[in-house]
Order: sequence, then structure tokens, then C-alpha cells
Amino acid sequence: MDPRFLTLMGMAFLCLHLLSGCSSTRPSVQEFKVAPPVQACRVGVLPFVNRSGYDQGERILYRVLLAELVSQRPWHLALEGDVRLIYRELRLRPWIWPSPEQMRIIASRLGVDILVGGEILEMEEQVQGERVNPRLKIQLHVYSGKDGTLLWTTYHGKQGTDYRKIMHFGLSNSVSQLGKKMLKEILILWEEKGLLVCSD
Amino acid sequence: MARHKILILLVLLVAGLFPQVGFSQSGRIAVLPLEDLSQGANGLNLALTGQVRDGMRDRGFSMVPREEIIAFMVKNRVRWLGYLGSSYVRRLHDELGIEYLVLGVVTQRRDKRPFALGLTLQLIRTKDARLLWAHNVELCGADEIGLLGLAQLRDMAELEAQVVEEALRTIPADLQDYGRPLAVRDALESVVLGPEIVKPGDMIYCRLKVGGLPADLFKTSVSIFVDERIIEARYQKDEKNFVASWPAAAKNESYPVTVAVSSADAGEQQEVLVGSYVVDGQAPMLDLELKGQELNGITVLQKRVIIMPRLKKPEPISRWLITVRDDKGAEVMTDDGRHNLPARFSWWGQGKNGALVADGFYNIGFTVWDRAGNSAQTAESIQVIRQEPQMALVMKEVGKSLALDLEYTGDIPLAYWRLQIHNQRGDLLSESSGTEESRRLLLPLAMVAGQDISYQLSAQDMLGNRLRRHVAALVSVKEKETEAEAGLLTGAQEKKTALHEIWTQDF
Repeated sequence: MDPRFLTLMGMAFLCLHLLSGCSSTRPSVQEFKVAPPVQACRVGVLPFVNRSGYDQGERILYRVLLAELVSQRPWHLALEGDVRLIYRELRLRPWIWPSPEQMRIIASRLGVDILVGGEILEMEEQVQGERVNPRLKIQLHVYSGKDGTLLWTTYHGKQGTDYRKIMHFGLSNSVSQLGKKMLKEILILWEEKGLLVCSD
Repeated sequence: MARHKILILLVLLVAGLFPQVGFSQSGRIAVLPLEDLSQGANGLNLALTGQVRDGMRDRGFSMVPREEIIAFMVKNRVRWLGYLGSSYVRRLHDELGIEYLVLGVVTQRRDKRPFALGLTLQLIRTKDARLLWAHNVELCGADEIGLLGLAQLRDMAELEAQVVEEALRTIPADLQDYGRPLAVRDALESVVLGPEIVKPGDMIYCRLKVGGLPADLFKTSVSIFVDERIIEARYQKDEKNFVASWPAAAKNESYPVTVAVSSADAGEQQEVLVGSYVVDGQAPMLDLELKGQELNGITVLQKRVIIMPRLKKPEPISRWLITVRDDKGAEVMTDDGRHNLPARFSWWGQGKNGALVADGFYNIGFTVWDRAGNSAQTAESIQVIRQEPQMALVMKEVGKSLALDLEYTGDIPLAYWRLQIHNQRGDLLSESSGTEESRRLLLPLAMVAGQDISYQLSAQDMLGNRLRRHVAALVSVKEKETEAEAGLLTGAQEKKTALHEIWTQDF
């Protein structure tokens, strides 16, 4: 083969590699219960715990998760208003995890099989001129509605540039955009692992 | 074949001219004002609300007028945006005949370049309060830059229009057959159960609000299952809710409470775990430790005393009280607090007015109450001694030396003493220190002969009580003086001289 052609091909590959981003980080799941998957058609989402200090971050991701869940498949999702009402009646603060006993009560009142709780570990937007690079680290915890035990936990951490495809294409430019992509990846992973099953 | 082509063309033409034909909707849809999180908690965005409403109207939905929605919110005291409970959602259906509800939240909004806007919409069927559809759209000015930067957004208004269009793009065309209907099971609208922790025999109260028309509630029965007992809740016409109360059992443990609602029409519904309460009849086990100098088996105040209350079996505390009383029982100092028990307290031997308390014996009492109201009390004694260390200095001539005898006569062990002798020019003639209670120091007479000498004595006992004595121009030591004259160099003579005694206590 012509050595000039090989050199040209090599340079082209190098350019592609330099211009494209690396987004190989996948969410990591830790399962605590012996036998997921869980048959769950009714799902309740608990208020997110925000440890990042980003104003309203917990409410942004809560709404995004709710929308992503219902977009993924027609779960019977508990309404946010009902979850908040039960939190008020149980005198629960949204930034504190309910006890297993309280989880059982919440699940029973909502009539759900599982409860999903979120925790924001890091959330920020770094402004660089005309560009914004958001960073997000989240954990989702899934609890059994029957006994309030933790079934599995998923950690995911990324920044906007991790989604770069080529040049500036694919970049995530806001925390809500990044959160949406990350939550979608988590839900896809759960589906791949067969953690949540609903034969309804 | 030609006829088929004409038919296909006609269909395409109709589809192109009337794009909203596919969205023929029946049933009224309400759009609640959009919450705007970029404006903080409970921010409002009426402009985007209007755009969403218009966008849905353009898609053929029958929209409920904004005034009707606001009137509903006012009537039902809905003071929040972005979410609504099932009872409110069903009320929209029952009272206003609204079929679907749209809730929206502006998740993010950046008004300066690069512009950013995030919008989440939820569509809820009001009949069974089921969330049918939801969609997130997040767009940023920086997303839209093409290879040559040609598609860059000009302003926020353009981004808003794009976001609303994108958000409504995936809304189901026909809502009638979308999402299997849910059984309306949650007849319980709200439950208030309390107290959370009680003593055996205390009363537990439960107030339940059950959904449905008031006329139907007379025919509804609400049963409460707790501790193998069934308690029937009474309907209160005025309050339109059910109430029940019962005494707590004697056994110390957690009691789950389940409720079943049954009506003549729907029959008995599934039992719902609504809460739990804990019976606690055991008083906290409290231990009190005083950290200070111990003297003759009792803690003595040394500047301050550290009081460390400790629960032998840790449990949440509702309140605590600390009181210091003198030996006659009079209250000298008190302090109290709620919730967490502080790890330690310091008492600096002061009364309520900040003044130092008199010497004597004091009783430090500590009381805690747990969440059920069980209390525990403990007390420890402490002694306050604030006395100047009793130290005397006697001088006499012994041979060719001047002997200085230090003698401590106090009861409290001595921590240290220090003695400095100066001449009239202020030169230091001698300096010595120690911890002994008696000591003789010898100064050569030749050193002090013909000079006026003075001394500074300082001492401290183990409790921190201090002595600082400065005696100026103690005596003139003459050369070749007689023994009688020398004999005057005693403590008796000290009293005749100008004394500057300073006694301080570091309290």
C-alpha cells in the first residue's frame, strides 16, 4: 500500500481522536438485595436530597426524573403533590432520608411498589466565555415499598464536555440538559440489567 | 392507477392544509401557571404559561380559561405551583369537569448569552389522577451553533418559542385511549396521627380526611387497626373528616397503624399503612460527671467546673434543665434547652447576676425529658473555696546570713510559690521558687548590708487561688548592727512598713 496513503489515514484518525470527546463513563450500580429484579409497576419518587448547594437543584432533577420515567414506559407514577403531602403529614424534612418504617408508610399511602430517591452530590455550572460546562454527580437509591429496604443504588458523575461528539457538537450546556442525559443513561442501565420489571 | 395517485395526492393535500386534524381532542384541558425555578422557590412564569396554552390550543385541545383556573386555585387555597396532589386533581374533574391537567416547570433559564431554557411539562388525567405524559426540553443557545455559526439564536424569545414547540411536539395525539385507567384507591386524602411517641396509657389521636361527596361520607366507615384492636373512626360533620382516639398499650414498642375505608358502593378497600407510634414508658438513664479538682472526696471549683451529662442508653431528648442550688436550696443558676443534650456545660462559679458566688457547698442538678415525657434526674455536689493562700515570711539574722523563712498554713495543697528580693535601686538580689509548704532561704549579710531591701512573694494553691504580695522598703540593713536591731527584722516589722498586698483570683 502507498505509504503516503497510510500516513494520510493515520493523520485523519489522529484528528478524529483529538476532536472527539471521550464519554465512556457509565453509571455504576450496587445491588444490595439478593434477588432483583423487582416487579414494580407503581413507582414513587421521593424528594431529592441536594448536597451541592446549587439553588433548586433538587427540584430540577426531581421533575426531570419524573418526566424521564414516564417517557421510558408508562409506569404508574405517584404525583409529586401526594408525596409532598405525606412528607408533611409524617413531619419529614425533604433533605433527610426517611427510615425504613417511614418508607413503608409512604409506599403504602401512595400505593407504590418501589420508591426512588435521589441525592445530588455535586452540581455546578462553570461559565467559560460563551460556553458553560455543567458538572453533576448524582446517586439514585431504590427502596422496596414492602419493607422499606434499600434494593440498589446507582452512582453517576459526568460533565458537559463528556458528551462531546466532535468539536462542540453534543456538548451539554446546562445542568438540566446534563441531568436529563445522565438520568436517561441510568434508566437505560436499569432496563439493561433487568432491575425493574413491570409485566403490566 | 391514475385514480390511486389522485387519491394519494388529495390525502397529502388535506394533511398539509389541516395539520391539526390528528389532534381532535375531546375534554377540557387546564394549564396551571408554570412554576419558574430560575426565580427561586415558587417563582411564576405567566408568559410561558400563555405560550404553552396557545400551543395546545393550536393543536386542537379545548383549553380551560385562565380565569377559571385562578378561581379554582383561590377557592382551594393552592399557593404553590408545579405540582398538585391527587385530591386537588380529582376536584378539578368533579367540580369543573376538567379532563386533563397540564403542570409545567421552568427548570432553568439563563437570560444572557449563551441563553438557556429548560421546560418540563406533565399531563395528568384528572379522573384517576394518573400522570399520562411528561416531557423535558432543555435548549441552550450554544447547542444551536452550526458548523459556520449560522443557526445561532438571536434572543430569548426565539428560544422560548423553540422550547415550547419542542415540548408539545410529543404530546399524545389522542388522549382518550392513552394510559390504562387507574382504580381510584386512595380514598384517604390526608391522615394526621399523633403524638409520635407516647407513654403507656396516653391517648393517640387520628384525624382522617376521606375523599368523596359529603352525602356519601355518612355511609362510609373508617376502621383503624392497631395492636390487634379495631377502632372505628367517627365522622365529624362540621370538619368533614373522621376522628378516632385510643389509649396507648402498656408494652414499650412501635405500633403500626393501618386504615381501611369502606363504603356502601365501593365495598371495603385495601388496608393502608398510614403511620406508626412508639410507646415508651422507660425513663432515660442519666449519668452526671463533674470534671474538676477533687479535694477530700468532693469536686471543688477550680476556675470553672465542667459538667458532663451522659445518657447510659442514648435516645432522643425533648428538653433538659440544669440547676445549681446552694446548701440552703436557693437557686443560684439555671439553664435549659430543647432537643439535643449538650455534651458539656461549664460553670464558672457565678450566680444569675454574673457575680461570684460565696464559698460553700452547692448542688448541681440535671433533669432530662425524653420525647414521651419520661424524665430522669441526677445531682452532684460541688464546693466553692476562694481563699488567699496563707503564707508568711519571717526574716532573722542567723550567723553571717539573713534567713528568710517561708511558711504555708492553708488547707489546700500549694501549687507553687516564688520569692524575689530587691534592693532600693530595684536590683534583684535573690530569686527562688518551689512547691514546698515551708522553706528557709539564706542571704549573706554582706550582700544586703547597707541597703533597703524589699520583696515580692507570689503563690498559688491547687484551686487557682493566688497570692501576690509586694512589700516595699522592708527594712534597712545596717552594717555592724546589734542583735537587738537585727531582731527587729521580723514579720512584726513588716506591718509597720508600707505594704502593697494584691490578692487576685483568676475567676
